[in-house]
Amino acid sequence: MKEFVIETRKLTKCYGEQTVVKEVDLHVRKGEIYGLLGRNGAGKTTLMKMLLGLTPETSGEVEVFGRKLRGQEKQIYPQIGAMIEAPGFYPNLTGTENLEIFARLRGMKREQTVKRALAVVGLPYRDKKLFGNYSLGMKQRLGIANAILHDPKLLILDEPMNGLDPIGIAEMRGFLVKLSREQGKTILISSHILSEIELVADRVGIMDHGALLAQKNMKELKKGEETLETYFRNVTGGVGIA
Amino acid sequence: MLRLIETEFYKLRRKKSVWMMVLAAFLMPALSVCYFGYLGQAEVEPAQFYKWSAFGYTTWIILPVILGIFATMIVYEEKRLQIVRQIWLVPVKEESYFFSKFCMILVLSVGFMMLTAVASVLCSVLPGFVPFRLEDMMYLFEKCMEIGILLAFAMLPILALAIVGSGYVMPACMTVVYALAGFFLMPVNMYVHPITSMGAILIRKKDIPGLLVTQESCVGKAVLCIFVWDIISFGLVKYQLSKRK
Repeated sequence: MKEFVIETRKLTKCYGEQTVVKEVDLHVRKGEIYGLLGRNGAGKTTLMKMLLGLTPETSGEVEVFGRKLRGQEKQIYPQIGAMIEAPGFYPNLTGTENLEIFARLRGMKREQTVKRALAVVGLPYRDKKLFGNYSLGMKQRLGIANAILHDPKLLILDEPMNGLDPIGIAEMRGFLVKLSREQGKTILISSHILSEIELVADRVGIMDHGALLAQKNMKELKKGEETLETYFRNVTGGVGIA
Repeated sequence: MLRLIETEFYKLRRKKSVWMMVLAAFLMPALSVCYFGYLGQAEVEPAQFYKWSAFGYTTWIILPVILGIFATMIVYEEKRLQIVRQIWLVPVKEESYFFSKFCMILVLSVGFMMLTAVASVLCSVLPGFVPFRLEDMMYLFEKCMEIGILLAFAMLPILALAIVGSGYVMPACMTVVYALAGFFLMPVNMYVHPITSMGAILIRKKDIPGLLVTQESCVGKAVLCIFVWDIISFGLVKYQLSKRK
């Protein structure tokens, strides 16, 4: 069995009486692209926040790289790159300046690191445009640039295709596949765009109303001549999402 | 830690509001010129002039309010734009985050008072109110440095409130209440409020004329008061930020 980079056991999150994540047993293998699918409000973002320790779990366990996050943030976080919800940066700074801050905080060589990250996502280096004037697509790209800035082993990306144009989506797809296939990075990506996940993911997990209803290997799905949308509908009993 | 503090300065690029705050250092010195000019006094005691230009409303009202608003500003923006989430993922410890914000407050406080001192000298010497004497200038700069440092520590509770609170209205309002409470409590009890305790330390040599006090200055009590408030503030921040884990 391949090593699991992310492993959760009955992970649950409740806000008062509302359960937003219900006993999720998630397993993400090393080097794979895992697509987490679900409608808006399914619990994908909350699950990702718990994986990152940004919100405490109500019950259950989370292990990343075989270790519990709590108390080991200094060892584990440098291996993770994440983009959760809308990426936030300082509006009075340019994209380059924003990344330089995070590069500085991580103790990395600013110019080299930032230049490389911006080139990957197709943003200009030392551009004068302030982040406050960025389009949604540019903000998204900068968020991804920040996530890959320190060359992490694990990427957790919450709807990274949001706001990207078709060319941007295709570039992002190619980039994610390259990271996984050539560099062996593990990628957990959430989306509600089934067609894109279908092209990128090695395995998918389908969430609905907080529960992880099913996990499926994409090769097996394709062998069965079933589309991801059909599979999603069958699992959730719904009409699909995109 | 040094990296974190360095980035805090970097984040203030192009922020015009910070420059506006710094320019407020010239307010009381300029008003002092008007005041003493209106009174028609040709020569003024240096301590008397500096009391108006630097040790009076600047110390008790203007700078505390500016520091409180600045603290709210530097914290609220990061929370509103979800930047703080990315900071935790670096990772940055809660204590380091708090300390780096405090360093910004300290630098602004000391810088503001130094600028006030320079403005006071210019506004007192150039119009001829105060003769140019090195010892008076040294006294002024020393006192302003003291105020700058002490006030930064005295305003730590407001920084803590900005960090643990969810919006900006409460810390901003509490800044005004906190500053005014210090102003009004000074003649009542100097050892219950950090700003009044700062005042108790400032007047220990009894070299600031016209300050109304009803208690003897006790530096030990004053330091204890500030220390207790700051420790509670730090504890509150640590508890609140750790809750996310």
